Amino acid sequence: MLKKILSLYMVLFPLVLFSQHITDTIHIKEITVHGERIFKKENAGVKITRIDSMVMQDKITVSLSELLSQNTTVFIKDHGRGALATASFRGTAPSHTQVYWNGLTINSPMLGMTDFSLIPSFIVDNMQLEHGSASLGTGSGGLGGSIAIENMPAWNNRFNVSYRQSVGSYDSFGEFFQFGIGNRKFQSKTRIYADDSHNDYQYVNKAIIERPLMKNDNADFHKKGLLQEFYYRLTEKNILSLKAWAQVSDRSLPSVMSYEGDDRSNKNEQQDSTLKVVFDWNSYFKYFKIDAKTGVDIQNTNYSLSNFIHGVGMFPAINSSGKSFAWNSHVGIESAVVNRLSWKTSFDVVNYNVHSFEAVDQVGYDKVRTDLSAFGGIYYQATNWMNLSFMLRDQIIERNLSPLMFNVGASVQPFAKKEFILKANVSRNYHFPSLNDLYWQPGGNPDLIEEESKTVESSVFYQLHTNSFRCEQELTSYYSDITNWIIWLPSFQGYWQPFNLKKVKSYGIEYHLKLIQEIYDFEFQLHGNYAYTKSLNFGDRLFLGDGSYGKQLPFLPLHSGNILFSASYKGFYLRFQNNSYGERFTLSSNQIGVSDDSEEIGASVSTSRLNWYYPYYMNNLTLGKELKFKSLSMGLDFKVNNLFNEEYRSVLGRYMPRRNYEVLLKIAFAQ
Amino acid sequence: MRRIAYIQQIRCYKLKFINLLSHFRMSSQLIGIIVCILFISCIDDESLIEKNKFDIDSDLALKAYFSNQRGLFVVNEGNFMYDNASLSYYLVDSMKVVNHIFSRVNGVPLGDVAHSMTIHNNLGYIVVNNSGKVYVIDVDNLKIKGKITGLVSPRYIHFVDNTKAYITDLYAKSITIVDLNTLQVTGSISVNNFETEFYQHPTEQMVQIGKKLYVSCWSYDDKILVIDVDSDRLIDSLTVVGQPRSMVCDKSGKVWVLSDGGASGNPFVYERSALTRINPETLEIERIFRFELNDNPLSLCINGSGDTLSLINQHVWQLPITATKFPEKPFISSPYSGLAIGGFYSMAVDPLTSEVYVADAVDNVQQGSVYRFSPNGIAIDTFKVGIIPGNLCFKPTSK
Repeated sequence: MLKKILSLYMVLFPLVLFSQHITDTIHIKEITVHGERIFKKENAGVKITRIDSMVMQDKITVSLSELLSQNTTVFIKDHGRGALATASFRGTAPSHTQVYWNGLTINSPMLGMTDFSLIPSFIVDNMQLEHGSASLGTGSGGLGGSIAIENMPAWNNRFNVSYRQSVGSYDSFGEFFQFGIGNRKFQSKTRIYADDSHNDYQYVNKAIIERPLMKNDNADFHKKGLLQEFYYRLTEKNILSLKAWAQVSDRSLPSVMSYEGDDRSNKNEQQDSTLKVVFDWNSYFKYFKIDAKTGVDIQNTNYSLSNFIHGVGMFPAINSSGKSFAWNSHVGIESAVVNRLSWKTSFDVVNYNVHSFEAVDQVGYDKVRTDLSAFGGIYYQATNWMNLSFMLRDQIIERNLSPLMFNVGASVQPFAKKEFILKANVSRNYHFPSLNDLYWQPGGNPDLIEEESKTVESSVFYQLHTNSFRCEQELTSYYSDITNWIIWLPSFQGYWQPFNLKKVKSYGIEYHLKLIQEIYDFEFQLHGNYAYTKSLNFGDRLFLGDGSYGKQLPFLPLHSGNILFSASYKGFYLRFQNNSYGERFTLSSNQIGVSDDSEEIGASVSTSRLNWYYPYYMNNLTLGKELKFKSLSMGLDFKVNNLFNEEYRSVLGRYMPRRNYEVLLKIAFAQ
Repeated sequence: MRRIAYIQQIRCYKLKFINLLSHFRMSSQLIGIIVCILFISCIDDESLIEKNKFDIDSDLALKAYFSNQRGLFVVNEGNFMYDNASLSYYLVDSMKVVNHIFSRVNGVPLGDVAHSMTIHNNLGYIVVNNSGKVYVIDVDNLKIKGKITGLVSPRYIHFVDNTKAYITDLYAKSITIVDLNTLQVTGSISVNNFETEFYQHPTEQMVQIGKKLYVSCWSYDDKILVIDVDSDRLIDSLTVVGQPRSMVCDKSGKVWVLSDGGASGNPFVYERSALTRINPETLEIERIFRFELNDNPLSLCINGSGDTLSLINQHVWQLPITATKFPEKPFISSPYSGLAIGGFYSMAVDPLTSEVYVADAVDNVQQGSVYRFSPNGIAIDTFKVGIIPGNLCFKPTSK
C-alpha cells in the first residue's frame, strides 16, 4: 500500500522527484494523497500547507476568497458576496501576499495585491500556501507568505467529461464544465465556467430611520471564463505544457446602507478581464532537472461611478481604467548529485507595461519596468534526523540592486520512527512598492523604498497514520518585524501620498489539525485551523494625540479559526463548515465606543459600537449523495449558507446575506 | 426471525457508533469547542447602535447643560464608503464634548461623508454627501425633524429665505431647490455648461448679497456663478484663479474667494493658489494674494464683525480685510511643519468671541482633534471628536 502511495506521489509531483522514473499506471481518481514525504530537506525549517483535496472539492463552486477564509489561517477582508476580497497573511497588508498561477506572479502590478473573489476554485488543481519566508523560494515580497495555484496533468486519463450546475438563492447560478482527453503522450483539459448572481437579498435597513425592508440592489456579479491546458510528453524525460486562462467579470457595487439619494445615481460598476498564458518546458536528466517557462499576464480593470444628470441621462463622474501587461520568464535548475545534498537556482525576468488612466479627471500614468530576480538554494541532509536549508534571493528593479534576501532553516526529526518534526527558520525579505505607490497621479511617491521584514519562525509538526486513522497537526509561532511599511497619508497638498513611515510588529500562532477516520463504510474528516494574530503598529508618532501606537491594525482579528467536518457513508455525505473571527477594529486607535476620553459627557455609559465589528461566527451545512454507474457518476448537493441566520457585517456599511440555499448537480463521465 | 435480525443489525450499528466515538475521544475537547461555538453564535446587530438613547429633553442635567450655553457642532466626514460619519457637540463654556451625538439621540448612524452643517431658524441641516441626503435636526435636542432625500452628491445648503433653500452638488450639474416647509425638492437650477472635456460645473459654497447668489465651482473649474434668487436662474459668471472653493462676504459687502490652484498633474489647472477679493456688483477682481505653487489653502472664514479673514495654508493665517500684503508670519503654526503629512484640516472662528477652532484629522482612521485658541492665538483647549472633522458650525445661544 505504502509503495503504491509513494509511486502515486511521484506521478503527481514529478517535479520534485525528478531523477526518478515516472510511473503512470495508477488510477488517480478517488485516491487521496496520503504518503507525502514530510521530512524533506528542500523544505527544511519552512512551513508549506497544501490544501486538502476534500476541501478543494467542497469549495469547487466558490472563489478562492471563501476557500481561504474558511479553510486556512489567511484572513480575508471581504467587501460582500462577489465583491473585492483581499488577503491578510499573518497580519500583513494585502500586497504582502504573493500569488502565483502556474509559476507566474499574478498580483496586480499597479495595486500590488490580488482580488481573491476573481479566482474561482474550479480552475485550481493544486494549491499550496507558503507561510512567511517559505515564499522566498518562489519569489520576493511575500512578507506574509504566498499562495501558489497550479494545474496538473492526469496522464492516465483517456476521456472524461463533467458538468456541475449550482442554483442558489438571490438568482445565483453557476455552471462548470470540464472536458479532458488524451493518452500517455498527450493530454488536453478544458474548463469552461460561468458564475452569476443578482445578489439582491432583502434586509431591514437600520441605517435609515424608518428601518425599511430593502433589497441589496446594484450588487450583481457575473463571471465567465475558460482554462485550457495542453501537456505533451516529448520524450520520457521532456514534458511541455501550455496553459491559458481567460476570464471576464462584471459586477456592480452597492451604495452604502445610509444612501437615500437619487435612485438613478451613485451607480458603481467594475469590470475586470484577464488573459494569462504560460508555456512550460520540464526536462529531467540524471542528476538535474530544468524548468523553463515564459508567460504573459494581461489584466484590465475598469471602475466607474455614474449619476443621473437632468437633461443628459447617466453620466460618469469617475471612469478609471488600469491595463497591465506582464511578460514573465523563468529558468530554474535543480540538482542532486548525492542524496544528502541538493541545490536549486533560478532566474526570473518580468517586464511590466502598465497604463493607468482616469478619463473624467484625465490623469494617469504609463510605466514600463523590468524586474530581474535571482535565487539560489542549498539543501543539506546533515544527519538522518536533521535537514538544513539555505536560500538567497536578490532582485534588480530599475537598475537598483536590492539588499539580499535570505532564509536559513532547519528541521529535526528526533524519533526515527515517529513523524514528529521540529522546524525553525530565520529570514529577511523585502516587498517592493507597487507601481501605484510610485507613480499614481496625484500623489505617487517615486522616492519610496522597499518594505523590509525580518522574521523568525518555529513549528512543531506531528503526523500519525494507521490503516483507518490519520492525524496531522502543526503548531507554528512566528515573529516579524516589518519596517518602512508603506502607508498612504493625506498630505498638506490636499491629496494622499504614500510614505515609508509605518513599522509593524506582527507575531502569532498558527495551528492546523487534520483528522481522518475510517470505520467500516464511514469516513469522517475534520480539518481545523486557528490563528492568533497580533499585528501592532509601532510607527513613529507623527500626529498630536495619535492613539494608534502599539495598537492592532484595523480590520484584523486577534483570533480567527475555522472547522470543516465531513462524514460520508456509501456515497452520502454531510459537511459542516464553521468560520469564526474575534472582534475587529475599524480605527487605528482600536477605539470601539463613542470616545476614548472617559471625561466626555455620557461616554462611559454609551453603548454605541459604531467603529467596531462584533465577533463573527458563520456556519454552512452541505448534504449530498453521489451515485456511480460504471464510468458515469452523478451527485446532488444541498447546501445551507449562514445556517443560523446570523446578522453580520464584513465591512462597515454593508449588510451581508442571511440564511440562503444552494443546490448543486454533478454529472461526470470518465473512461 | 426478521425482527431479530433487525435488532441485531441495530445493535451492530450501535456498536459501530460507540467504536466510532471512542476513536474520537482524543478530540472530544475539540467537539466541545464546536458545540460552544454553535451556541454562542448570536450576533446582535442592535448592539451597534445606542440602546440607552441620549435624551436631552428628559434628562434634566443634560437639558440644563444644553440650553444654557453656546455650542459648536463638529461635522465628522468619516471614511468614504464606511457609513461612519458622525456629529460631535462641544459645549463652549464648560469645555466638554459629546461624540456620536446624532446617532446616540436618534438611533441611526449619520451616514457616509457628512460634509457640512448650517443652522437656520433653530434647525440644523446636515448635508451627508455620499448618502445623498440632508438631515434636519432640532439644535436644542438634536432630534431628527425631517430629511431631504433624492440628491446626487450634495455639498452645502443655503437659505434664500424662510421657505426656500438651495443645495449645491458636486456631480449633479445643477443646484437643487428645496421647499423648507415640506422638505421636498421643488426644482433645480441647471448649471451644465455642456463642456465636454472637463466635468463642469461642480457647485460648492454659496454667498448671497441682496438678490444675487454667488456660487463657487471647485473641482476642475474656475468659475463663480451668479444666480438670481427670485427667478432661480443663472444670470452671470466670472472667472477666477483655478479651483475656487471657500468663499465669505466681508462687512463692506465684498466677496473673498480662496482658490487652491489645482494639484500637479491636473490637466485643467495647475497654478499658484490664491486669495481673491471680488466686487460683487461689477464682478471685478480687486485684489489677489498669491500663494506658492503646490500650496493648498483651505477653509476660508471670517470673524463675527466681518473684518478679519482666517484660512489654513498648512498653518493658520489671519489678515484684516484691508490688508494690502499677505502676512509673513502665520497666526498659528502647524505642529506638523517640516513633515509632508497633512495636519490642519478645517477651521472656524467664533462669531461672538473671535476664538479660533482648528480641526486635525490625524491619520484619518481614528478620532480627530479640535484645538481651541484665544483671539490672540493662545491655546485654550483640545478635544477629541470623530473621524475626519471637516466642518465646524456654531450654535447660536438658545433663547
